[in-house]
Amino acid sequence: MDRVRDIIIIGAGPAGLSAAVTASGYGLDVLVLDEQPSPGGQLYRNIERADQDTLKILGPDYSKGLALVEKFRKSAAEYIGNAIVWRIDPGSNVCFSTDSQSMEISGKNIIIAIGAKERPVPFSSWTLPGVMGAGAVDANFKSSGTIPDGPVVLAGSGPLLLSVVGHMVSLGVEISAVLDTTPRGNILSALPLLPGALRRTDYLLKGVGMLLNLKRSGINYFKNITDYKANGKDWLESVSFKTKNGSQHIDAELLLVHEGIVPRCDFTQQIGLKHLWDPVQRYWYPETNVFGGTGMNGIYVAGDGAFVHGGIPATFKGSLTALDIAGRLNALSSAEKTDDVVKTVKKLSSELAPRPFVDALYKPRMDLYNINDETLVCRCEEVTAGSIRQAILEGCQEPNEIKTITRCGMGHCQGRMCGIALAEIIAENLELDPGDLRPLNIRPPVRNISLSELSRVTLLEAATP
Amino acid sequence: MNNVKSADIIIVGAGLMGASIALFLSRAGKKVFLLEKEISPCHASAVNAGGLRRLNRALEEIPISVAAMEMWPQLPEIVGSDCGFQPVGQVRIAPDEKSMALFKKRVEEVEALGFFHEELISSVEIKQLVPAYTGSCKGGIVTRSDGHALPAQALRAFFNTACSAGTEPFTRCKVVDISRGKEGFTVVAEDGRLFTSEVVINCAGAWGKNIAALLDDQLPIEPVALSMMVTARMKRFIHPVIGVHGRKLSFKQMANGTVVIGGAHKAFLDKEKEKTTINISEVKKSAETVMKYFPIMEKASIVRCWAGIEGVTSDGLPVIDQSQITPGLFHVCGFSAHGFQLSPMIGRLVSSLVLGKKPELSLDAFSMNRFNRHEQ
Repeated sequence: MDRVRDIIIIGAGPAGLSAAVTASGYGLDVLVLDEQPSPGGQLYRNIERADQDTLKILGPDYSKGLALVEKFRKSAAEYIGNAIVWRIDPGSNVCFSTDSQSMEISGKNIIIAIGAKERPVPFSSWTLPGVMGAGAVDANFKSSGTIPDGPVVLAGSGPLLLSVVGHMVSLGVEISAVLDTTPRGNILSALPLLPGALRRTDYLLKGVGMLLNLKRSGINYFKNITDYKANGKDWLESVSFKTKNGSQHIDAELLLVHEGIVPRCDFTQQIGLKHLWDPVQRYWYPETNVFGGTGMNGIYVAGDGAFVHGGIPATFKGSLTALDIAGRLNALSSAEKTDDVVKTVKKLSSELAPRPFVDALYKPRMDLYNINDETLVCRCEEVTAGSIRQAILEGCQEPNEIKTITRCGMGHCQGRMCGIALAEIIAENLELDPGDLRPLNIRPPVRNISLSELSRVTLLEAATP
Repeated sequence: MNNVKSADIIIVGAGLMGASIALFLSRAGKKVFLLEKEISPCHASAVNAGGLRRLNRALEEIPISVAAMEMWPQLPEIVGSDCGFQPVGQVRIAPDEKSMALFKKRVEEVEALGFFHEELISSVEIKQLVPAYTGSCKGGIVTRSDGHALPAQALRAFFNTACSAGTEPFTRCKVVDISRGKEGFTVVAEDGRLFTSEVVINCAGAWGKNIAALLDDQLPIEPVALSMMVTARMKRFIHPVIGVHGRKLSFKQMANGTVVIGGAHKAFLDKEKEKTTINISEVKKSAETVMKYFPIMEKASIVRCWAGIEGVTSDGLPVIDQSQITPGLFHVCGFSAHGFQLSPMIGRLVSSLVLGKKPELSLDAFSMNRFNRHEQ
């Protein structure tokens, strides 16, 4: 395998695939490293092997991916699945592991296209077996056709929650209740943004359709609920929550939560890019230009990893990144590039028209991190909200200092689960904006590898900082 | 627009040395300002490996190191926290006869100074103390009551206790200018805050050279980034901290089961941005060394590698001295990656020095003059 490439793309979701197709179309040498066994990312996971029933249940949002993956397979881009990238350095070298063998390779350009994840939000007993992310159920179904046993309670807020409910209804899963935490006031702050969204009534109608289906299905649907909690001794037994009429309690064997989608920033943080805080959706994202360029030479971020816009916009973002690189490598003339860029930006902005409205409508509730002292925030190191607050009382103000003092974020996930929660708790206690804080340092290896593998890693000759 | 703030003493740098000195000076009744460029210190003081070692110290440092070791068990009384102190011992292994001969000579030298903490031990005892070690071994040295502690906890405890004793901290306060007039020192922060004092103590660690240069003192201190790595928790297999002579390996299992691997492997350092980047080939070498001597670590999962920025002097000893050209300016920096253990004692000694008393232990070996002497 050639270990010095024009472009190394990390991730084979909509952005990574689209960037690969576009770039290899201009004759550039492209390598795609994917942590999954086959291309598709989270959205189009396992799509090459999906049967007709699966395609029908998951609908066009999923089946659209088939064409993209086919184009990618036909392209000249090289694909390595089950490739666990564990380090990207600012000199554009990448270390990755396959079958417990690690290797360092170098890219003139690196496109980080690792997408987004469900926002991890701690709540009382969220670590009980039987509590999962709603998106994880979709992922399991896509990878292996696994369908959860009922009765299921779904809780949280956001379009993806409604979409998962729809899939479960189609699959005949018994749903005890859907607990929607979207605050009543959101619609008011979103309304002024509605006119912009009307440019894409198709998206709005789809959303309304999901809500209507939910109501028609006869599922117990509770709006504006607060304080949902998991209850149980060794396994989830019930879910309790509050409505304006008081407390309620529902038996459940599975609680699926969803509190929105946030960019996966572990690599962008490890490499040292500048991150900004989005005050509406409340997450960090790497600062990028329209091409996904970062200000660090040759390092790009494409797709939801740059900012959460969804799958179709991610494909356009991936193309824009590829166009910029192709232009810089003189694989196309600047006139051609401008032409394609203008076309793609127009399509992207049409896709993004409803986004401000949707983001405001599903703005995370203000009390998202209003958790009690006993609740675990860091699962790896079992650090509670109480001990974080104690460290703040003792004078700590920086996420990274609290990490060293309490061990929150020091475990094997390096704060992927607790990083945002930690910042939100500090911000609340010190009456700051989380954007004023420096996110947790993410150190290599970004995915754990064994000492023996590290000692055997095949390195390139010249070390770069 | 600016109220000039006045203190008796300004300490530049709120790392462990600065905080320790601030504590003892505040307790002596002085008005102390502690100026820190970050929100909280985040370099060597906060992220070092936490080793507490008298073992194999430079002879010049031994008296201070021994006195500091007596303070570590007493930290709960001094700063209200045990700072994670674990007196598990430190062991240095001689992989060959040549190293063992050096060790014998070394222990004789230490004993000639009147110190008996370093003990020669046989390969049989090494086997008992470090059963997981599989390298060759002709014996070793042990210092049984050395050990390790938690740097971030120690730093926070010293800082908070200093503040309770009256030290006034100023964070995000990067010093960009210092001048000395008739009335004393004027210190200017990047954001325009102004401070005056009779005494300035430079505890700026890796940046000690830059602070000294503001008053035309030249300190041969260079910032160096040393990398470490840590594993996921493992079943307890080792108690003391281990080093192997002639090998870049320092190795300890923390109280929670994680294993911290050091060994002075350098990382890349961007001095201007104060950013470190792991040098993967150095980290690989470190992993090879560990695999060779501790095969039990083969499957250990590496959770992260990191590097802290240290100030290292040309001879590896710190500078603890008053400026020759600017009376009232003291330099306490350049601890060259082994200052953590000394820090409680440094606070005590430097506070005496600054207050014009004779320090309990001689600081002559750490004078600035020594560098000029070397040049001549």
